[in-house]
Amino acid sequence: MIVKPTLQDLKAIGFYLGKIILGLALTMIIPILIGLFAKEFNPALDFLISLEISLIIGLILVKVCYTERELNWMQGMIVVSLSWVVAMFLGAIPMYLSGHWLSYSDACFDSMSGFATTGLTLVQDLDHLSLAHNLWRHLIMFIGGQGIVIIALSFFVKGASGAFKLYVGEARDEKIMPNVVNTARFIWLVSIVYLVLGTLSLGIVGVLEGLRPASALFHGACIFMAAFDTGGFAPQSQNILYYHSFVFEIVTIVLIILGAINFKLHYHIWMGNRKEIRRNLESVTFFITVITAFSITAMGLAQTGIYSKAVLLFRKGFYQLISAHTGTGFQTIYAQQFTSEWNHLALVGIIVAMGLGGAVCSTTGAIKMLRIGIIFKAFVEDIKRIMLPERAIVVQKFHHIKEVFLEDKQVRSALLITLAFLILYGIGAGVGMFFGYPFANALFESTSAAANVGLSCGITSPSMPAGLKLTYILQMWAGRLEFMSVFTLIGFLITAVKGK
Amino acid sequence: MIKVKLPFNIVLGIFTEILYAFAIMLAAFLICFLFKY
Repeated sequence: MIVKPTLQDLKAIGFYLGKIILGLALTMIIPILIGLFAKEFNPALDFLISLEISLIIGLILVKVCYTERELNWMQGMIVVSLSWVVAMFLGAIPMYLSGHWLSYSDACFDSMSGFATTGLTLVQDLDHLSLAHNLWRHLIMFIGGQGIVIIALSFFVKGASGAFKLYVGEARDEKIMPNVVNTARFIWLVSIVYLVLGTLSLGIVGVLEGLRPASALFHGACIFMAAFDTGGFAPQSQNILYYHSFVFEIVTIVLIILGAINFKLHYHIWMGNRKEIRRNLESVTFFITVITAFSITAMGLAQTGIYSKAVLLFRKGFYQLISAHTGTGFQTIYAQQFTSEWNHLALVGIIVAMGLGGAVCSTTGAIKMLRIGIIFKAFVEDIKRIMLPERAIVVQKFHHIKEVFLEDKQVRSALLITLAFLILYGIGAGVGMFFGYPFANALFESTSAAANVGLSCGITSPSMPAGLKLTYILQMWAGRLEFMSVFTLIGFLITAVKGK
Repeated sequence: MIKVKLPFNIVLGIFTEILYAFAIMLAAFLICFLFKY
């Protein structure tokens, strides 16, 4: 028998959702201050309006749904999936008020793209967007990359049990420390340390390349947030191509690779276990898949002959590849060049890289390295089983912080998520083809959206069909949360209608 | 002692991670040379 959700369920969901909305509202103070500092009073007003709306909704939910009960698994998952939808709607309000998005749905597209650290954008005249709005685009990537729930966990949610359920619901199933709140705080520590180092590095390079110091620092902060959180937005419409600087590109490559590293691995390396980086299954798998995917792309690009020198092949070919593999979406070529200048072999390398992603418990999306490594180890185990005598006991191990014995449960979980991602890539490609786009382009853009990458071959534009915009929004949402909390929400809605 | 050691470990940790990023870039650069020469 399907059991209908109780009033207690709704109250718990509403209460914690309210707290997360309050956390989100507080982040809007930053663009308000930037707006006031830069004498951009109208943009500051846009954020003040959005802040008030968010505060009112958050406070009403917290007051009306007040409960002292901790969340159960189902409630935690629903809070997470709903909080990302609500964040999209609230985060889109200041964007829409700026007048740089043609409609509220376009602003919602960019808001989800930002929170999910995708990087696909429908903004109009980006080069004349206010500093406050431009910062907001990058700030939501920083918030989304850390995890919207991580903010609430760090400051608002008490009680370890409920906090852990929210943490897991946001596709972060690895506890770095025994206490999940301390785990959330460590994630912040890593990000803040790299925020300072990354912003300064990019700022200095910007000044050396001819930007004014204040502007270089602003660009540095924005690009850092989009790079470390593997987002892909940039303050200028030409993205990273705007800077025309090899050094700038190198610094961003370092930052996006750092962003693709598991926070648990950061922790162990920072605590002195530095050998872990060359033993860990994820970092080794990442190295191998990057090189393999890049070999495919480089082969394709060598066939076309468009990049005549090795340095050019690195700056154009490898840059897009590492941007794709880490799920960032920074581009140093124009979107149309993917289809007009690159051949299909080069695109296959990029699509494969986008589909694979970075490490689990990092800021990247897609299938992720631990799962790819586990599936590979399972293959090795099965081949051993065939090769060895029947009586032989086959034991497969892998190294992830410690030696771990490979179990069927892990393989099943890795294969299920991989399958779900492949289906999601396929559905988006199918919808793209339904709207008349060629297969290669549709698959490229769909994988980019579902894997939270943000590279575009030109499909994503304000004039694309509304159905495709909605499809990409759903793909970004489901891909970022890795399905379970989204499926739980769907199940919850079904029980609400059909339950007794 | 721990207070002194921890930031030192963090600095070395950051250096290790940046080295890892450069190792990937170096391997990619070698592939670029392989395809161009």
